Amino acid sequence: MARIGLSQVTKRFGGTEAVSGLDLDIADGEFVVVVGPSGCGKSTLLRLVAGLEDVSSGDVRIDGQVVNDLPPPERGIAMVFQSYALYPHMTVRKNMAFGLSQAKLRREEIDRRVRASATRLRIEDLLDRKPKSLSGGQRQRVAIGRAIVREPKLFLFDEPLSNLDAALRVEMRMEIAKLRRDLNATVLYVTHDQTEAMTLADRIVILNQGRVEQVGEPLELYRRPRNIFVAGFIGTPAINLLPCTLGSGAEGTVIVLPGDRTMPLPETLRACFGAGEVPSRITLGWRPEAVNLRGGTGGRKDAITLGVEVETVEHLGAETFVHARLDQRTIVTATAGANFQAQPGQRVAFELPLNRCHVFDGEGATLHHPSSGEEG
Amino acid sequence: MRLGYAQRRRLKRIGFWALAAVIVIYTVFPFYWSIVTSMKTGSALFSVDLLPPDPVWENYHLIFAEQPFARNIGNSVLVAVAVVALSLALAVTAAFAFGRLRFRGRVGLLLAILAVSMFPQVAVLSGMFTLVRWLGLFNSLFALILTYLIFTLPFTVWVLTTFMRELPKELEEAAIVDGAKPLTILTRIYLPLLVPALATTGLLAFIVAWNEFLFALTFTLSNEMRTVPVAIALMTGGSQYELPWGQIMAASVVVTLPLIALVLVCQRMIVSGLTAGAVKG
Ligand SMILES: Nc1ncnc2c1ncn2[C@@H]1O[C@H](COP(=O)(O)OP(=O)(O)OP(=O)(O)O)[C@@H](O)[C@H]1O
Ligand SMILES: [Mg+2]
Repeated sequence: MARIGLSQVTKRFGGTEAVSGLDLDIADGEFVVVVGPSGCGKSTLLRLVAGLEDVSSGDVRIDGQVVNDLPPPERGIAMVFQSYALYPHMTVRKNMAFGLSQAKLRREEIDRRVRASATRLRIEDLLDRKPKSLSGGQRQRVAIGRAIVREPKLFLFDEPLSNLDAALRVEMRMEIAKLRRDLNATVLYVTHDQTEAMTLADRIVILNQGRVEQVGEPLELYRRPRNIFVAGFIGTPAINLLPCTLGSGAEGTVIVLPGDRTMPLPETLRACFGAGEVPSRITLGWRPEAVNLRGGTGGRKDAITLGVEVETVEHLGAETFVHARLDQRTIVTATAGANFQAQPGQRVAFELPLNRCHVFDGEGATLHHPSSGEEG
Repeated sequence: MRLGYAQRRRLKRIGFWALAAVIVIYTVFPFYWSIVTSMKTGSALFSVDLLPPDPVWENYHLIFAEQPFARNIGNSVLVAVAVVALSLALAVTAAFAFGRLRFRGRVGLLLAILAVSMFPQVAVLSGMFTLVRWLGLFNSLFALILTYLIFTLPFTVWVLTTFMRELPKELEEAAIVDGAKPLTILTRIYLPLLVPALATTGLLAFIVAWNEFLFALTFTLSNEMRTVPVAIALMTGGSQYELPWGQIMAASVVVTLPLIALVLVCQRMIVSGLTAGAVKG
């Protein structure tokens, strides 16, 4: 187990900054997942901690000690690569033993550890095979096995499951969760799959263009995103975002929704701006499960009701996603019950309760989120 | 007349085999002709036969009895093996640097290495001669080993660099994380994966060294220091006016056999897909 500390870590490749002034502390035994869109610097961050890249500025600490100049093997880490990176000419056994033999361990000790790890990952039968004769899932297991035999203080995973098919990914995800409980090690795990992040992480780091957008527990990020980016990144289907403009009309401040629907600014929303000035643009956000489907129009006072046209209906069995068009540019998604039926083109009403509304200002920072008592 | 599917297929197959036969005959016939000639003596040498009328092995005896031909073969083997070993050792390390490290002037240096092989052999001959004399290597096999590297290094370095670049970077990084030092990475990770490339380039280097004539002729003097191609070219018969065709052919056959054996051995190593299973699914 190890504590990791990153302070003001920056990595430049020529002109581009892959990681910019990043601060992050990881506690002993914590499972931290880094997510973000492609090219946001996730792998670079991991490689900086591993020592495969040198920081341009800032400090990387492991257990309080600055390791900027320590080569990878001396950092007590093990890394699982996105592409597995198994040594193709070695058997599974040799693949797993390679690191240990480099560390000059005794033969019996190497043997013992390889066998123990193989048993844990259920790959004992594969020990004498070469990587090319293994399936994707088996290769992934071997790659993880190669990491755990070294009994590192810190595990680094770079999108370890992204090459697997959906079913295998779920299976391996559960295995990693289980493994993690058994090993009780510190883990830094990179993925762009937010389901993996939500299910595995103690804390999630959301990275965007080399900067941390938010760090927090999975549900906290889901319920209380700090800005539009985080809100849009966490959650499937994605949160519904409605860009609105505010103006003044005859009866005070009015809000203009997409589709040019104008209505008086509800009191609940006005409260978000506090005593300060009312901004001219805001974005309102509702999670799909917060959107209610209604037969008729004419709505409740504490909700915005939108008339929309159904585009597609996705039946997932337990629930149904209804994607409906509000105007040219805006699609709104609602979660409905398993038995919901609608034809594309049919007009329905979506009711957006104000007490479940996220409010973001013109720059995308959060002004208000629903109080957690109301379930996001 | 329209041909049925089966007929058309048969015609195609016949065409294919006919073409293959022509190619085989074209390439193998000269060698076959030397074998036939090497089994003839006297005036039979000048008649045209597809099979030697009464095959004799006398020529094969004579080349070893009248010439230091065994010594010549030994020289050739020594030179070729040394050239292969040296060029591969140098080329692998160079390729590691060119293919795996980033440094200033990398491309320029690669091009310079390629440029070396652009000069015609005769152009470097006199310069090399001076160099060899100055090093005191005249009439020594070391002169050949040293100078043959000029021919072999450019292509071995280039081919191996290309192969080295193709190897996934993650393999190296995995090894680094596993605690391997650069030399270990080169020998334990890269070399085994480069076997096909090593076999190919090694074979080509061997053939170049084995068949080289001009340098071998220039840098050696005595019969004992000659390599096979020179020895064969300078073979003398009973009199000044007689070319011992039979023996020359016998010698050619003898020295081609090791090459064929080598190709067969190397062919097994030149298999693709050694990196299969390293990355992705
Ligand atoms: N060796 C390098 N040289 C130059 N630029 C690099 C290098 N490695 C990464 N980058 C750049 O740094 C940025 C971050 O790359 P990184 O690989 O960390 O992204 P990532 O978040 O892992 O993306 P993905 O999800 O696609 O794996 C990218 O813009 C990339 O082009
Ligand atoms: Mg990446």
